[in-house]
Amino acid sequence: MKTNFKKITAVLAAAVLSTAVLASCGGSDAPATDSNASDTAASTNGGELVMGTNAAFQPFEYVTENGLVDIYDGIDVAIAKKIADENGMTLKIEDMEFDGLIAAVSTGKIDMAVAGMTVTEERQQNVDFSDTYFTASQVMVVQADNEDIKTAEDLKNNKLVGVVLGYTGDNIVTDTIGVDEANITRANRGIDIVQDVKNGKLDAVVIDSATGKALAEANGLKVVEDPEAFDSEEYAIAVQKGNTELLDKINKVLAEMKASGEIEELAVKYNSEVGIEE
Amino acid sequence: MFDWVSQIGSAVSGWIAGFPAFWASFSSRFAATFITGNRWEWFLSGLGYTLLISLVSVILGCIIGVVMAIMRISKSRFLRAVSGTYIDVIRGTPTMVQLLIINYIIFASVNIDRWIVGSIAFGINSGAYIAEIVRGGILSINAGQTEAGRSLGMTSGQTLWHIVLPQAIKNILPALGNEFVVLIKETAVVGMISNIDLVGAARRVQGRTYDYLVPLLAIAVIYYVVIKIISQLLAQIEKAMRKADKR
Repeated sequence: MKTNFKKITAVLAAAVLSTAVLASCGGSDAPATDSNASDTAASTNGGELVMGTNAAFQPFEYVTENGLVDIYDGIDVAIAKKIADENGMTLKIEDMEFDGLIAAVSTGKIDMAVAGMTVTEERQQNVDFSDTYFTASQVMVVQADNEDIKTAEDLKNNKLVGVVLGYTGDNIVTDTIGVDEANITRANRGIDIVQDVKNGKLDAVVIDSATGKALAEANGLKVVEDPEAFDSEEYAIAVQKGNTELLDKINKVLAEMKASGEIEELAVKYNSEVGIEE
Repeated sequence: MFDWVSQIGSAVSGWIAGFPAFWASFSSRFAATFITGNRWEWFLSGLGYTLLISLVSVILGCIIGVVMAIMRISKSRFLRAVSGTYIDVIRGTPTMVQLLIINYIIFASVNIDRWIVGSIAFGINSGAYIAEIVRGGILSINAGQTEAGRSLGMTSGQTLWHIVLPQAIKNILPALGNEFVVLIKETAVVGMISNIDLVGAARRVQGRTYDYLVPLLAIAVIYYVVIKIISQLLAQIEKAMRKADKR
C-alpha cells in the first residue's frame, strides 16, 4: 500500500512538473510581467467578463434570492451587467473579501473590480480606475438613542470604533481622525461590524454613506453625518494597469449611463429597495 | 477540460519570469511592509495576540479536558452522556463555525474583548480534543495502580486524584504541548471575529500597500520560527522528563 501510494505521488508530481515545463517552453503569457498586461484577461475576446466584488455592500452589491446576475444584485451589478451586455460578453461575478480585490485585479485573476471602490492615490499605484460614477462620503452608524457622537472628533473621546478592513473608513479613523489604536475593531464585512453597534459592543462604525444608511435602517440604528470631517469620495471601476481596451469599453458605457440619467435611476431604485429615503 | 493544467503551467512560468523583478523590488516592498509607519508594531502586536489567545485557550482547554475526561469514565450514565455529547459535537463541527457561533450568538450582547471571546472559543474547541488525550492517558495507567489504591482504603476519587492522574498527566504532557502548537496555527482564523492576530496584521498591511506577497510570506516565516522554537522547547522538556524515568 505504502509503495503504491509513493508511486502514485511520484507519477502525479512528474505529470504536473512536466506540463509546467512544457507550458513554459510554449511561451504562454506570464501574468507577472508588465509587457503583456493588456492581453492577459480573456474578457477582450468577447467571452467572459469577470467582475470581482464583495457582495455585502448594499445597495451597491448584495446577495438576494432573484438577483440580476445569479444571486447578486445592486447598483454595481446592474452597471457591470450593462458593460458586459453592450460588448456581447457574459458577466461572471466573483464574491471575495474587499481587501483582496486590488490584488485580484492587478494579478489578472478578475477583469475588473466593481465594488463601490473609492479612487485613492494608493490604489491608483496598483490599478487603473475608470471614470467615476458615484459620489459618496463616510458616515458614523450609532445606536438610535446615542447623543454623545455628533462629530468625527467625538470618536476620539475614548469611543470604541468599528471599521471594515481595507475600506476608506479604516484609513480615515486610523490616520485622519487618529482614534487610539486600542479602541479600533476591524472586521471583514459591514454587516458584521454593525452587529456590534447594535449589541452595544461598539459605540460607532465609520462606513460609506449609502451602505451605512442601508445597514442602519435594517438594524434600527442611526446615521450621523459630519461633512466637515469626511470629504466626499468618488467610486470607480478598477482594471489591471495598462488594460486600456477594457477601460475604454467601461468608460463608454458609464458615459452613456450618466448622460441618460440611468445611474441616478439605479440609485433611486436600489436605495428604495433596501429602505433608504433620499 | 484540462485548462487547469496549462493554467498551472503558465502560473509557474509566470513566477519564474517574474522572479527577477520581484527580487529587485523586494527591499522596497519589505520596507513598505515593516518599516513605513512603524508597521512592524502591527506584526508584533498581532504575534502577541496570537500567542496570548493560544496560551489562554490551551489552559482553558486543559481544565475543560480533564473535567470532561473524568466525566467520560465516571460511573454516572448522565455525566458520561454530557461529556460524550460535548466531545462529539465539538469534534464534529468546524472550529471557525464554533468561533462565529460563540461570538455572534452566545456572546452577542456581552461586551468583552475580542481576544477573550476568541480564547474561550478555542478553549472550548481544544477542550474536546484534550479530553480524549486525557482519557487515553488515564486508561493507559495499569489497572493494578487503581486496585492498589483501592486496597489501601482510598476512595475511587482519591485513587484517581493522587495515584492515576499524576502518572497520566506525565504521560500526556507531550501531547498537550502538541495541542498548544496546533492551537497557534488554528487561531489564524480568529480574524473572522476581529483582525487582531498575525494574519490580521498582514491583512492590514495588504490593505495599505496592496502588496499581497511580502506580508503573507512574512507571517508564514514568523509562524514557522515561533512554532519551531516552541517545538524545540517542548522536545527539551520531554527529554528531561524521560531522563527522570530511568532509575
